[in-house]
Amino acid sequence: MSTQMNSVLRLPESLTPEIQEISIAPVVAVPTDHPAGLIMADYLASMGLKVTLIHPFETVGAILETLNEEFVIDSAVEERFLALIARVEENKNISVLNNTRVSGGKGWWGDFSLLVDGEKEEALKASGIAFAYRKQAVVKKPFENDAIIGFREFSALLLKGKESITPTGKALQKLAFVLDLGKRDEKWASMTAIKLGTYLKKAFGVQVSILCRELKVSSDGMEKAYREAREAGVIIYKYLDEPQFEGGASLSINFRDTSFMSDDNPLDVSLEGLDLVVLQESFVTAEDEKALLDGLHIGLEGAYVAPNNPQFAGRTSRKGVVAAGNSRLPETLADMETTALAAAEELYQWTGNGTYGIDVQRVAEVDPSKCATCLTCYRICPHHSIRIEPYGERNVYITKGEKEGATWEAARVLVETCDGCGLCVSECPAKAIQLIYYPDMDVYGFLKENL
Amino acid sequence: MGSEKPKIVAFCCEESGMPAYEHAKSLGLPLPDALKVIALPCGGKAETGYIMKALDEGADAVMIFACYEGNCKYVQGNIRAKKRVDYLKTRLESLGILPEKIAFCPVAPASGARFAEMVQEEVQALDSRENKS
Repeated sequence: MSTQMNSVLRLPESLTPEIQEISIAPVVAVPTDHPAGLIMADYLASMGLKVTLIHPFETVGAILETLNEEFVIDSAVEERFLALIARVEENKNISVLNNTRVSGGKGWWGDFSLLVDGEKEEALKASGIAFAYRKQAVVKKPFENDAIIGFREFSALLLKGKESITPTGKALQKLAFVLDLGKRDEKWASMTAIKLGTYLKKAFGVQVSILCRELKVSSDGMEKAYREAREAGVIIYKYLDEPQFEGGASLSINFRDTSFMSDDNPLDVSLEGLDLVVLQESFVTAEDEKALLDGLHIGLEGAYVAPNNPQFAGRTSRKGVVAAGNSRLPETLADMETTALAAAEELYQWTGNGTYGIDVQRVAEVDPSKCATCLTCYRICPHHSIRIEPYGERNVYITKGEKEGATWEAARVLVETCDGCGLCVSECPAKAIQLIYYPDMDVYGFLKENL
Repeated sequence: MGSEKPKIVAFCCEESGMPAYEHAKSLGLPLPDALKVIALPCGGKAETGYIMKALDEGADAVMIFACYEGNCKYVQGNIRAKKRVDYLKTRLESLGILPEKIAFCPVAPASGARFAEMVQEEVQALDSRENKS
């Protein structure tokens, strides 16, 4: 065994570098109800883009209300944001639409239209969209009890000091975090519970239990944090069926634990006399955001692509649309500001220069004579860059005005927004699509030669 | 070209599998000589045809290295790939090919160690199957 001899087929560099310049008007829309939207609008306007800020409040300043809800802010932060508001209001590049709700969107990078206030006709044109919406945190309490709270409320309590740690006024001695009651794939709750639990156990000797379905240790530094928690004496349980809460003077939770024994042989556990129970919240998407995402064919999961490369902080699955704010996950103020700037920077790269060079080789191409118009590629394309359009003859695409002479309709890949991922190629049942820069024959040839 | 056995074909997602392979190489971790690495723009590009062609050409095992669920740059490329592999496994049986010959392996871009480990596991599985027969 050695490590030198592997034969490797790499992604080809573009065959003949063919860059096509397309013109993109430096006009963007920022639909928002979150301070991150203000940061993005301010950045984009200061870079010389024409920005339309769309928000549902009476004044721009009202957007800052979320700041108090989400983050604990001091006077310095407040001053910074008031200065930001003043900049946004004064900047001539920003036109503000007060009292305006977004009801949908359509189009492609360079040619987006936003529908506002439920109207179908009058649309707002923009080359790119940067949005930031707040998410409403919902705590699903089993019954009304002051000692059952959500993570967000708990963080606010902690920041106020130890005396006020329980909302009921009792000193905190026994605490339980209950995770995974709703959505199960969110890592932030595991992370927060473990870190806070370790801190409370070490600093104040609080007895901490964490109840979860599965502990997600795949995030950065999580394994270390988990080990520390175990060493500090934080007890971690895994439950299968939903835990039963019992109220009254002393709060208790009953559940079957599978972490100690095996899954087939669970252990009945009852945690009694709890001073505080912290539940994982679920987050509800704002209506405006939903309308926008639906209209743009992004969908909730496409809105916050978590690529392995953290430099694409604000990317959604569509080119020309970026997201920031707590549309993503609960984050700190510093994180929110960095993400917003990164997202704005990303949109600037796409729309700020007036033109954009596209490598026309690095895309997929449809052979319309083979296309069966089954819409598989249309549905699967993560960038929504495939349309069904009329063709005149082989490979000759007819523009809208010439539709009379069209002979048949077939899928067409929009060169501007295609990212060359090849998902459509691998799913096309008619084998009508090929990646121009990386045709199937490359792979077949490599396999034939090397095996 | 070194020892010709076992012939493993690794389809690697450009976003995770390839960086993991490079990482494994830079760490000098042991990888079989006959490992063939094919970069794909996304794990979801690993077509049924590619996998079948690789088996047809005499590959002992085919591995698809893609991103972890929820990490795909193209939203659901990795899920597509996984589903395709699962489906293909059910078909392989009826063709008289061992379904264990293909494997879907999620990997993080910075975990070369995991990459090498999964390849070694595959090699050992192949060895033990060979010894049995």
